[in-house]
Amino acid sequence: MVGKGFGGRCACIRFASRPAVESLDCGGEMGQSPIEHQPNITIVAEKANVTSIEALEDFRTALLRYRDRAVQALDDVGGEVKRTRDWLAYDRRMFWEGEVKRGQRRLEQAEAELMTSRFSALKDDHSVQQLAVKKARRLLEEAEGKLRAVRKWCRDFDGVVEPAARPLEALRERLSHDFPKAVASLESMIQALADYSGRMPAAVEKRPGGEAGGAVESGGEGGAV
Amino acid sequence: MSAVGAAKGAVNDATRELLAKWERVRENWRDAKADEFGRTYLGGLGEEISRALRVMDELERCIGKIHEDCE
Repeated sequence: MVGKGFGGRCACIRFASRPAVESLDCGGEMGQSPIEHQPNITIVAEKANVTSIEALEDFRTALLRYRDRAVQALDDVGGEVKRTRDWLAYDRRMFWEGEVKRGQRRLEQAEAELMTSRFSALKDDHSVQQLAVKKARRLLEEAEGKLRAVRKWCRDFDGVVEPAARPLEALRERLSHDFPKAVASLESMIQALADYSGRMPAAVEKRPGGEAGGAVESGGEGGAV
Repeated sequence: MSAVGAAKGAVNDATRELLAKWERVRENWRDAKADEFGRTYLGGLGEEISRALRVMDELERCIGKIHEDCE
């Protein structure tokens, strides 16, 4: 890969804030073409040295992929937080409220059967009815415990889970603002090198929504040649 | 694996790959501009990702507890 982007030539370009190549200087002897005696490209003045334009292009692509993957991961985390909140507030609340009501009815029925059994002159053993009451009471207590937990988590969710997730916004901010600038900076550098070497830079990936991979809100600063 | 666990793995893998690629790029780009690029755009990324992974760990535990309590 090394030097491939420049056909094995050497090029020395003075870095400056000016937009054009200012000088060529490979330190070669007088009269010798600066692009014929060294195997790679060197950009001097700020002692810049790039030996493969393709390496920069590959890294630009890697930055774009990284941003996509990381943003997707953060979206997935945010989605999971939201799904959990909805699951608590709707699904679980309704489910355990229903279970409490069913449990109350089961207990009332079991207690009524125990009462009937006690008043019955024909039966001395009420253990089956007593067990049924015990079981119904246990199920109701479990459901009430679950409903209390659901209500507690519903109350606490925004104060516990949301703040826990908030530090991830710093990473999202970096991915949204700094990474496009990084990509633009690389693109600027790649373009300058390509302009010099007469090589077409690799096409920039199109982002969803038509955004160019290196689109930035504010101008990239690196790579001014 | 939960969505948060999967996201954690994805961020971890992607960051390792990116930083390894940056090391390889540095073999072809050795100048002050590369130093500046690394400092400006990649400096502290590892630490920031470590923090994010810890946050995701905490979220995963918290969401797991919610499921355990309310399932």
